[in-house]
Amino acid sequence: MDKQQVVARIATLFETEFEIAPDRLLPDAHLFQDLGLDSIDMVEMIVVLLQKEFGIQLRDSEEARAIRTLGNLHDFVFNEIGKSAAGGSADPRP
Amino acid sequence: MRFLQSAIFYTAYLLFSLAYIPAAVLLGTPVALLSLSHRSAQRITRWFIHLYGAITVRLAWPWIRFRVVNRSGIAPGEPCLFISNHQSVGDPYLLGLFPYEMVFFANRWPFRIPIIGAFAKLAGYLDVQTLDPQALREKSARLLGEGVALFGFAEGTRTRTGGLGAFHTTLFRLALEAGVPIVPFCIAGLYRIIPRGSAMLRPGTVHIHALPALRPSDFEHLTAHQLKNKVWNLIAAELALLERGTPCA
Repeated sequence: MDKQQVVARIATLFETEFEIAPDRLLPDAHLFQDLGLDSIDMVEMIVVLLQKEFGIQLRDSEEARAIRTLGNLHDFVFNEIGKSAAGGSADPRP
Repeated sequence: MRFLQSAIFYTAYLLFSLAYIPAAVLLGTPVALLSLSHRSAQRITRWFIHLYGAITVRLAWPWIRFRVVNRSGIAPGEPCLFISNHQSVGDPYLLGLFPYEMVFFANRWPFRIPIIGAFAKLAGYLDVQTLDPQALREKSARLLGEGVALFGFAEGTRTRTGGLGAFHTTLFRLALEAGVPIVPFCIAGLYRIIPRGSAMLRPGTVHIHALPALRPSDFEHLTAHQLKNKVWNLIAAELALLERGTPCA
């Protein structure tokens, strides 16, 4: 999966689950301040949805804690998919 | 001229606060201690805060005028959730112009301000940054059960541009769970009178509109995110109308 596909799938996720208009889904949009997500959105939805959508665990790590913007999230997911693929444990849905 | 107006207002505000706050403590403390219940003590504290806001906004007259419209249909004592935009540090004082016993959702910092923080704690204000979601739900439900109106700035912070920012989902999740009416609340004009980062006042008119309440039957079929967007659209539309009609000197 290339970066553009990751960005597109995350955009769809945000549009459908968080009801956020596509024109607000900019890479530098802050997840809390600009997109209005709260801690419950982050914990209950992003963690679950990212696992469901990409087969990755948003585990408690330095990288995960550093996520502030949508662009950070794109990078994180893309890198995690790469790591999982290299380790042979990834199960990203086609 | 602006400097003079600001100096007069802040001097009056300081003198009033220096007289009012000790008086509130001296009068309120024995009354609260003698009252039979924690509920009564909190009600008294909120009454003092309400009166403080009501008088403070009037100190700005005649340079700053206030136009209050309450179309909410909410009677005093009816539990509900007010959802507002946040234009200025002066916004909380405006609630003194409405006849409700209110409790604010606040960030952590107001609780750290000497005296004001103590009043906020005594009044039972809700710290959204330190309370976990379950505790926030329980405390909110208890307050609503007591007939208190809850008030929150859904953007979480003051506007940086004067426009309406993104809303956070927390309050809408609470409203859905509690099943109480939501009152979209629109403040217009104050951003230009006290812009963020400036203490200098500019003359103008502030419009404070409580829009018709959304009843639970209007939104119980929505998700928290859909409800958030619905309320955002209502406030944004009202704000656009008011901003067009509120020229500021």
